[in-house]
Amino acid sequence: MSLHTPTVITILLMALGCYGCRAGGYWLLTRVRPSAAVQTVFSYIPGCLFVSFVIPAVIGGGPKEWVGAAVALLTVILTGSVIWPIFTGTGAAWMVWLLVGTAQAAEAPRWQTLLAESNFATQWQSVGDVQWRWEQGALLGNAGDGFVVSNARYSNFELSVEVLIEPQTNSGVFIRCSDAKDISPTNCYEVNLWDDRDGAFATGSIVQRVESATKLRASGQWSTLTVRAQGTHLQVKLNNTPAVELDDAAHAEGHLALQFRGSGSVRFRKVEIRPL
Amino acid sequence: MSNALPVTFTRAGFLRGVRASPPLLIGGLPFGLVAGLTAQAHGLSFLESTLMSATVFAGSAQLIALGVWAAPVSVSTVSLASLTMNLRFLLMGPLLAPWMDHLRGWRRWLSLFFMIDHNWALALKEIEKGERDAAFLIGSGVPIWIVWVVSSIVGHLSGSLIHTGPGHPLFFAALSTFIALLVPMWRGKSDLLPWLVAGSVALVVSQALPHTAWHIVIGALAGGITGLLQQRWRPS
Repeated sequence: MSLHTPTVITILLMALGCYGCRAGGYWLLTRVRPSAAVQTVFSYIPGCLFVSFVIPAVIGGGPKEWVGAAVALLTVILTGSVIWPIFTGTGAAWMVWLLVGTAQAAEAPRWQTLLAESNFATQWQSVGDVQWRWEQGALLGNAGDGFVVSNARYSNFELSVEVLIEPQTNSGVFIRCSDAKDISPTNCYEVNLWDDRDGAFATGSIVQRVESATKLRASGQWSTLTVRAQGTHLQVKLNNTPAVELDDAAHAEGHLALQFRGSGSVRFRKVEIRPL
Repeated sequence: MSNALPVTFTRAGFLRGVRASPPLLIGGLPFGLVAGLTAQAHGLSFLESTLMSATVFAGSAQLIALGVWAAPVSVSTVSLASLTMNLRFLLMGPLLAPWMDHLRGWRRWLSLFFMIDHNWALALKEIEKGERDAAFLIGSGVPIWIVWVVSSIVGHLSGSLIHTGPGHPLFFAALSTFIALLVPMWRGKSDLLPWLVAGSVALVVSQALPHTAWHIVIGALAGGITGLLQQRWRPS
């Protein structure tokens, strides 16, 4: 239950625009008669607007969109109903999604465990002065300022991290870091984990780049942060809720880093990656 | 237009509007559900989603806006996409002048808030029949508004329960809805060229400016202008 300022502004502008057209049309056009040309253009707009939405969405989609659209179209032509196509089209898209999902699961690269007590010494390095230690299968940081940084570099991947923080904890997951010894929001993309951060770029945001539209909280319970990085497109989700998306070409590949800084504590477990 | 009899605004007229609304309610229900569900999928909170349905009260404009909603939201492209969808209202309002010209203050301006495609069409028929009670428009609009808000609330709650990501096929419902609404908009051969132009322009713009709503606005305007040019060159 929350209101987010840019969202509310957008909604109110939409409301103003809608009411402006409803009332403004009467107000204006009873005083100034629109030319026949304007009336003609307006008469084509609703249909063309829907076409402009549907065509790129269907063509740019995948098998799910193609089959769903065909079934919806067929239904509306056969039945003349505008209700049934919603169900048949969605149902068809859903079936394709299930089939494709099953096929892909068999082929897709498997998730690999990145961080474990067994590989911590050989595949990760500590940068900074945090005394990282393992506790019940999770990597714990609760004093100092620093990172654990992967030796390997990654470019296109889906990363999943389970994390437990406190509200005041300043943590974060850094990806595509150019310099393993110098981890910063400038040298990497920093996905923030900091619930009580005042001002911008709290949990779920990519620091200095894009702010989460919704107020997300990771503290108090184990939360799953996923980051999908493919080409210049980044997608962040927290507990499966979309946080941010970013298109940016600054960093194409690099190290991964997990942060702890200052007060509170952070625990990481099940850090897994799947190449794309 | 001149009116032989005075226009009234009575409780009886309001109730006549209410009684005319049920067929429109059933049609609106699935769209409200889809709007709420889509809003939830795009990260709008319960309050935000409900605020949108209550104040915007325009199904196609909301679905178009939500279709191009991204996190963080682009205020300008989303507002513009929804505005473009509503341009038709500009042309609809004046046709209600035989009633509206005789109303004053809130009666007129609130009536216009409750004007949507379906009850506008009903109201026009009433005007043609010589009906003088202008409260009919609000009377037929209020039940639609209530069903719209409630169904979008139910949609949002269902979305929260199901916990689906944006790639989930359930959100194909919005696209299905557009296709379902698009087909009856086909008025004949004169739509073919404008639609082809709109779709092609939209496709090109969507590739050039990904993750925005400009393709919808530009595509729609390109189609509208094509319609005009076609009429000029080949009057039918």
